[in-house]
Amino acid sequence: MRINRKYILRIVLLLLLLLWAFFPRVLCSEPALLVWGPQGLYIPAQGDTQSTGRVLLRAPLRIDPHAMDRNYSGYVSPGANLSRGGRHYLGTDELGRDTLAGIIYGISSSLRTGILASLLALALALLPALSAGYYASERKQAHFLTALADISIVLLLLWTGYISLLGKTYTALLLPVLLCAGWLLLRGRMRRFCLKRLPFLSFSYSPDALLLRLTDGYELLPKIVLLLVVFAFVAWDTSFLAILLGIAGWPFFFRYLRADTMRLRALPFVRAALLQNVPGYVLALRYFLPSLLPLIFSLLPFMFITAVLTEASLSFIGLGLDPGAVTLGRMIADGRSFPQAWWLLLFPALALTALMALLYLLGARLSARFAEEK
Amino acid sequence: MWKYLAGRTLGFLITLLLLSLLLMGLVRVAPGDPVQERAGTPERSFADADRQAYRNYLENYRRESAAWFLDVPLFYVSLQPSFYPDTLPQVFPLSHRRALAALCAETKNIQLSLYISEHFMEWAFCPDTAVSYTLRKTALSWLSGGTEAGALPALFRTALQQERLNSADAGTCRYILAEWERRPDAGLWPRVRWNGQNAFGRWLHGSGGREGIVRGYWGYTALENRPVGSVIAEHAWSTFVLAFWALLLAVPGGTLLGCWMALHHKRRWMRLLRGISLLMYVTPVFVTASFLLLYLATPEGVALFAPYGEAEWDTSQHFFSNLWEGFRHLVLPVISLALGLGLFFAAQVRDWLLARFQKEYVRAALSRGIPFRQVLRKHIFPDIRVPFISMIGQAVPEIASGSVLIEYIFARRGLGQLLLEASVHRDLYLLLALVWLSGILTFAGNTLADVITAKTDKRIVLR
Repeated sequence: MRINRKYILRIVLLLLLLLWAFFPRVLCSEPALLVWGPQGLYIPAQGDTQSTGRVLLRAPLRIDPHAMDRNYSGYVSPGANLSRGGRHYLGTDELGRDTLAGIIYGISSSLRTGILASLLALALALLPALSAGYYASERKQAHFLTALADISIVLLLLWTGYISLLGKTYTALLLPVLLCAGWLLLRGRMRRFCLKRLPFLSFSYSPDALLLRLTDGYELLPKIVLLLVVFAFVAWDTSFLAILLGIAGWPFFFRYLRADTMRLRALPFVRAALLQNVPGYVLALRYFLPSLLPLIFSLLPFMFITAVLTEASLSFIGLGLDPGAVTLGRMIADGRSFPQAWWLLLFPALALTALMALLYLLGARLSARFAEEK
Repeated sequence: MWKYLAGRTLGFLITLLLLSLLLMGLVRVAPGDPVQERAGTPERSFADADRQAYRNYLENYRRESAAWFLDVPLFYVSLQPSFYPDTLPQVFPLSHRRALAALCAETKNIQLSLYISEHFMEWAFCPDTAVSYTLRKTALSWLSGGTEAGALPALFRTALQQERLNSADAGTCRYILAEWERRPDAGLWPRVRWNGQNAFGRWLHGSGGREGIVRGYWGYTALENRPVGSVIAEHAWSTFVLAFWALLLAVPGGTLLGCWMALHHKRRWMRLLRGISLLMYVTPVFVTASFLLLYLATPEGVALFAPYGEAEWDTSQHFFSNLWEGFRHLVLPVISLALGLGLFFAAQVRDWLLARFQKEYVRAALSRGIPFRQVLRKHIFPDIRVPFISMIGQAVPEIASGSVLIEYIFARRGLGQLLLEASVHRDLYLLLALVWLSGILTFAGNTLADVITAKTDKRIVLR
């Protein structure tokens, strides 16, 4: 496969971003990354500073965000650090924790939240959006018997899952899962059979109207208020928040993707495919998805921004946040408590603002390009 | 139109009800216990107390959980394993509840589980009677959740074989072991039950000697034991003042700024101005507020304005000094809330206007010699009216979530601060009322925007 040369820089940047988001250790950690020890190659644990053997790979910045440097405790400013010849280039806090390492890990957690939340929201919205846009104003034929079977199989799965969790024995899940797989194989045939032989039990509904009604009430709740209420009862960290934000954020993708699917459906190449009776999954994967990609790429940064902003705001308040989490919002909140140490407030705030600005510019550029293409 | 409004309201009400049900369920399954907030923690007070103290504590705990509707099932219909009790675990303290639930899942027999837990209580908290060492240790560790339910029979057997138990305890152990052996295996099947008395119904329409929210009764707060409605009314004014001034600053200010930026978009310094406005727009609300507070209201910077709280109207002071006090307290929160919103409005208005300037109807009107001012007023403004109205409707949730942060930073006693306090204390019914309030306000804002849009633009049909 040949890669266009102008994309290489972007791919490298993307990989670096993913590395930063999911493996911040590679950028910044006290112990070595790879050591040739007595038992062969191994990766030292996060807090393990005395590893024996030959160090093969080190992180560019050798500081841990949690490590408390006793010699640099009590608010050492960047200038004082420079005159003392230390490694804490952006200063330290009261306990001697490094600001730069905190910022790197905070950005990592912001990026992780953004990536997970926006991809999850996209994954949740894609299928409903495609089907709503595809059926647009049409009504879909359904049959009471198949609907009943669907509902009972879902209930059975949920029930056995619940029982298995209670009793911590998972063998009981085997039968419902097999049943579910069998039903998925048979479902289309059964539905056609029922519609043909028992037409009086069939009904029609509009998937588009149903899904729109579902998202309507869902979008009208202020998310931060809801999340604060949930976090009154459940402790959270960034990945948990990312999942919640992904679930909360799918109407955003749904609306735009649905509208674009509707537009695509009226185009000649899709209508030709419809006339040839192309199966649904081929239609979705080969016809709609490639044409939806530009829109998806222009929407992702905005969802990303919302997720980063929500994570920062909630960790600034800090209600129910996992005590070990290092986030930009928490650093800013900590920096507020001792205003003489300006570096504790300024640098995390700058990092957060710069991250938001970059994401915003990226989103604006991608959507401008999308508008041009259309 | 009316049909649209009715359908939308119905959908929204159903969403809110489902959400409330979800939150009420969350309280039951979440670690941590709102009842324990009020009844105290058992571990500390029973380190060296007798059984009666634990009994008294349990009584108190049950009374408190009845006030929280935790003594009845959650919903009208409950679907539970037949061995698993619906509400019984709710009326025990948390540590005990978990142990009991695990025991129920293990024995699949609620009667036996209760029997065992009663005797454990006796062994653990009764230093007078001669209790065997193993039994006492087992009981204590089980009550604090330290022993797996599956390990209990082996421990009972050890106690029976290796220690000299008194006859009552030995009988109890033998009975438990015998019952344990013939545990029913029917626990896998669900038991569907209709609950006439349930927490959701009591909260919604009231029953069992209580009023529900349909009659305007929102319950009592956990900490001060005051009616939720009056607490909210007390805090609402501060938030209203903040939101009012922020909107008043953001909407006309942002619109004027946007118009001005569009009219002068060819100037060279406009690029710089746009950059600055973009940077300030993407800066999170809490960052702006923190910096403003630090550098304009504390001795670290210039102590121009008041850092915390809101002004009281002091009748002994002069009218203007009162006004100045109010201004000093309000200006920083309002600016930090309005800045991001106003700049967002400005950017939007600028983009809309610039796009309209390229449109053919505008160029045609200008080329016919119609003055630019008139083109703006008669041609362009009616065209951007529809998105403008819906943008204002969307500002309501922004204001709601922004005011939480602003009130937290500036320590204003408003609804956002109340929400945070209620979250810290897990004040369920106050939280539910606040969620409903914010939801209804957002809904009203959005729906009003939609209706006005449909009224001003005849092409838009609401359905």
